This record gives sequence, structure tokens and C-alpha cells, in this order.
Amino acid sequence: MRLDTTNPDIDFSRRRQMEADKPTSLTVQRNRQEDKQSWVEQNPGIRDFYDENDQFTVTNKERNGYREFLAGLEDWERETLTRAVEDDLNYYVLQFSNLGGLVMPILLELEFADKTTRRYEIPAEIWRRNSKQVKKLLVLEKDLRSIVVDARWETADVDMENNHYPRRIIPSRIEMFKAPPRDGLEYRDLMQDSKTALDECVTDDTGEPVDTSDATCNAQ
Amino acid sequence: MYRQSLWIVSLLLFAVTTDALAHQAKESVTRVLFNNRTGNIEVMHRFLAHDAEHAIRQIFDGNPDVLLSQNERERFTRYVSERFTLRDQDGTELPLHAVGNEIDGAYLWIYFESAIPTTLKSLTVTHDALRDLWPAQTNLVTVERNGETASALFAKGAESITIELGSHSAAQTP
Repeated sequence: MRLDTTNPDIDFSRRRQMEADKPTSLTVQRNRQEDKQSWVEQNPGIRDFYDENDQFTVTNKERNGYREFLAGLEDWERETLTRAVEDDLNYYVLQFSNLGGLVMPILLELEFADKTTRRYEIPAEIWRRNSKQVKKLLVLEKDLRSIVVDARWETADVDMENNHYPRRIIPSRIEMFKAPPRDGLEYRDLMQDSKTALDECVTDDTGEPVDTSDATCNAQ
Repeated sequence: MYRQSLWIVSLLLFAVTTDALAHQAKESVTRVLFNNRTGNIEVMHRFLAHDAEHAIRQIFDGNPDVLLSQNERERFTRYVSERFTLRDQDGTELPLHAVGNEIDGAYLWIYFESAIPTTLKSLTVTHDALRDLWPAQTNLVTVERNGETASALFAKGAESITIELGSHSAAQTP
């Protein structure tokens, strides 16, 4: 979550970008594919004020409102706002519910947009004012992508399904039992497999070894 | 001398006690999970493998080596299926299909499942597995549905326990 600066010259431009980032409608896409043009595009002469300005155009009315807002602030409030706008950090409010009843530290693993991760540990004292539900504000430099509560299973949590944001499906024990067995080098029974005796040299119809690099064939 | 003898007796008692504890717990845990993704009620029984071994020896007079014999595990699965039931509010028994079993560490897991009925207001659970062998056996059943959990403890005289699924309150029938 990015802080609104309340400056219309900054905020309106950001909101225009957010609107532009939305998916293009199917109607517009198909019109483009068929090279169809709107009435205004076919007749440039009829373009008017509303074709030149969109809903995010800043007028002096908004600028005056911003100046009045600044004038109404205390000096320290203005300095704080200026610093927050310059820092341009990300603000996240995380809400936690205590479903089981026992208060525990909240151990978070944060994953950012650049794929880096960071541990963030909130002491159990956070529950001292409200043992049912708490909120925590995180101010971060990077964009947050996902959050996992107790990713390393360090607390007495019996339900791991609700520990992920965005929500992640955790297969039940029976679903995992039904799933095909895992294969891969790391799942071999290496100690048992290492006891396997080597087969004798295998030859083709002409008596030549199938595997020319086979050491047992070369020894014969 | 007296003090030394007392120490030896205490150590022997401790060794006997820990040995007994290491073999039989006489406790099982069963998780009944309403899995909306698969549309099934999943029943996961967890028995201590040693308990199952002792039971197989007593019930079937069979090879108690549960850890190695799939055959003995399946016999024990059938034994459990005859002693664990789920019934709806009308007393109709939900058909539980055996999914399989596996050994995980010191535990034997046995899996059953049944399709979630369209209307289910309450669930009456009976769990007599191993209780017909040992009076001290306790079976804990937890029922999880839509993030809410209710539990039923089968110990002493408890025969069936009804769990109201709306509020998840459990009523015990002696």
C-alpha cells in the first residue's frame, strides 16, 4: 500500500496509471484487431474538451484544496508529511486472529517482489491489549509479495492452512497418500540400493557387450 | 547398605515402568476432516504401531509384525472399520471406504473416506477400536469442518458421541 501524498499533481497521475494497468476490455481489443475506428477517430474535427481531458486531469480547484490542506497543518505535521512523501515507502496493515486461544509470538517470513525474503518476529506481548485480534503496521522499502506465519513450524500451531497470504492450498494427509509416489534422486533408498550386486556382462546376439564401457565385460 | 538397596529397587522400578510405557500407549487419535476441495469426509486414524501389534496378536493370533506385513495391516484396517462409525442426524450410517494405510515412524495410519452428504446437521461417532481389548484404551476423535474443530473422547463408558455441526457442541451417550 502506497501513501497518498494528497498532492493532486502526484496522486491523480498515479491513479491514471492504476487505471491504465487494468486489463483492456474485450470490446476494445477486438475493435483494434478489426481495425475499427470510433466516430471521433474518423472525424478529428469533432474532438472537444472531454476528448482532450480525462477524469484524472488536475485543475486549480484541486490545487487550491491541497494548499488549504497544507495551511491547516501544524509545522510538525507538514514536516512529517513531506518526509513521508519523500521516503515513498510501502505501508502494510496485517491483521491476525487468535483462533486457538493460546498467545504466541508471531513469526513472519516476508517475501518481496525481488524474490528476497526477510524474517520479522513480533513478540507475544502484541496480544496484551487484545488476545483475540491484533493489527500490525509494517513500513517497508520493498513491495511485499507474500507472507507466511510460522514458516519453520516453531510455534504450537495446529492449523497450517491459514498461515499463508495469499492463501495456499495445503493438501490433507489422505490427499498426499493418494498422490503418486515422489521420484527423484533424493527419494532413493540409498543405503539399500548400495547393497545391490552388479549384474553380469550383458551381450547382444553377436556376443558383443551392449555397454562397451562396462568394466565387467572388459575383464572377461 | 539399606540406602544402596533402595536405590537399586528404585532404578529397577523405573526401568520396568519406562519399558511398559515404551510398548503400549493405549491411545489413538482420529481426525475427521470435511474436505470441501474433494467433497469427502476424510477419516485418518493414528494408532501406535506397538498397540496394533499387541492387538493383532490377541485378536487374530497372527504375526504381530505390523511394520513389515501389509496383510496384517489390512486385517487390522478391517477390524477398525467394524468398530468406527459415523451416522447422520437420522441415524443413517455413512459408508466409509478404506483408502489405505501406512507406517509413519512409530505410528500406523489408517485412512477412510466418505462423500459429504448434502444435508448433514449432526454427526454421531462411535469408536470402539481396541476398547474391546483393553478397558484403559482411549480414542480421541477431532472433527474439523470449515475451520471449526470439535473433539470427542472415547474413554471408560462412552459409546457414541453426537457432534452438532452448526455449533460444534458434543453430546455424549453413556
